Amino acid sequence: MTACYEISQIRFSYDMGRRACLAIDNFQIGSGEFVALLGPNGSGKTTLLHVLAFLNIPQQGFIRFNGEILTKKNALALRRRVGLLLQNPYLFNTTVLENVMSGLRLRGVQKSRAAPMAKDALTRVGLAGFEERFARHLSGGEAQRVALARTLVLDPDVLLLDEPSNHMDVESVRITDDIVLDWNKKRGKTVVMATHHQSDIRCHVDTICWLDGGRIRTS
Amino acid sequence: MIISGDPEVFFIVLTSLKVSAAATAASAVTGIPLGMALAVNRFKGKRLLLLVLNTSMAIPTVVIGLFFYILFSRSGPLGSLGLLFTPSGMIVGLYALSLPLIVNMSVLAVQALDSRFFLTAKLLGANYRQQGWLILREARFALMGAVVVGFGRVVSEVGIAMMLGGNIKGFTRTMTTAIALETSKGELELSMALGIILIVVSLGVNVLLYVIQEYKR
Repeated sequence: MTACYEISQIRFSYDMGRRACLAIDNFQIGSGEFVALLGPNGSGKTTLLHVLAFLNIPQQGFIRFNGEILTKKNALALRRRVGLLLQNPYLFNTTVLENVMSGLRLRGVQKSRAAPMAKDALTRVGLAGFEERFARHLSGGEAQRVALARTLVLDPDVLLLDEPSNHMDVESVRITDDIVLDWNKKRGKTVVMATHHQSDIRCHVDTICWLDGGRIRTS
Repeated sequence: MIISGDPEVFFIVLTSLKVSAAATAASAVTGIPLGMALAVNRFKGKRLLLLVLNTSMAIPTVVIGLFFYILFSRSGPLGSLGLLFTPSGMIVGLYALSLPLIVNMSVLAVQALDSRFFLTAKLLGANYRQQGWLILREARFALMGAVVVGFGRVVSEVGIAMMLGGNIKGFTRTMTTAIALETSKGELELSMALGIILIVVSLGVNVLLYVIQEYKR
């Protein structure tokens, strides 16, 4: 298995190094691997996901993504190759379709091409017919699925999920589970999921990592 | 006078609306991006700049008028431009009046956005310029509200219009300056007619603001 992420000696803090939120010496995630990040609240799961999504650049150490070292210059280009589903996703104050198309439009995809792609993604998350609904009027589970469709439509190399089942109903959890599994097993895409629920860890997970105080312990 | 479509009333109303709209448009075009940049960027002296902006909203209009009067007067540094007692000179003064207001309201509009919005914009791969467009779209109702308030402020002010426009009949006379003049002359009919129109304009501006705020919900 080739390495998707190679992390070496990274240190990240939100307060200019006064208190390290993340201190990982060596960590690798293989291409097509399904990794679960476990740990209590405040253990650094979300911070690590933000680092893996290239939202936060560590103050020390380096991250290699598919052989390319992360720098400030290429952070945006690398960010466009990963998708992160936030724990409590934010939907723009517009229609569901506009929301799902937004990432595509930012990549310069014409509306005429983006719209059918977005509709297809909505169908995959079980929200066909929701296109013209106003995003602010959706339930928590529906909003989460729209955010998932918005992420999947970009066809990222890596799917990062932050506590995906937190705001979802049973139906939404089932649909999300199926999509994530399909993404990982059939399409061979890398998936990293953070959770503090042991029950979220299904048999399809390849690696379980335990995080504590910003440090990682792989099982 | 309103019903018969008096040409003098018509011209005064049109002048008022034209200079107010031009000043507000200029303030919106420059003030909104400035407010957005102020809200999202961190830099040394930001608090001081915001404090200055807040203070500048409280400057009396006659002081702004006096400042530009000195600048535009024949012996002033910008006297050669010939802006004094012209609609263009009034627009400059009214622009200075509405700019701090629109900048401030834009800062507040952007700061009121959910912090997850900025994270989501970055996550979806927006570059710096695209983030600006997304902010503009997301905060559009609050920003439109800022423009409406800015227009309401300039259309109803009298000090700048009087000092920089000179209240010249058929050229720079606006609703507010005409009301002041006609009332002092005892010509209450024209004053009343213009007063009613000004109230209708103010009401229209407030109704527009209300509709924008309701739509936001």
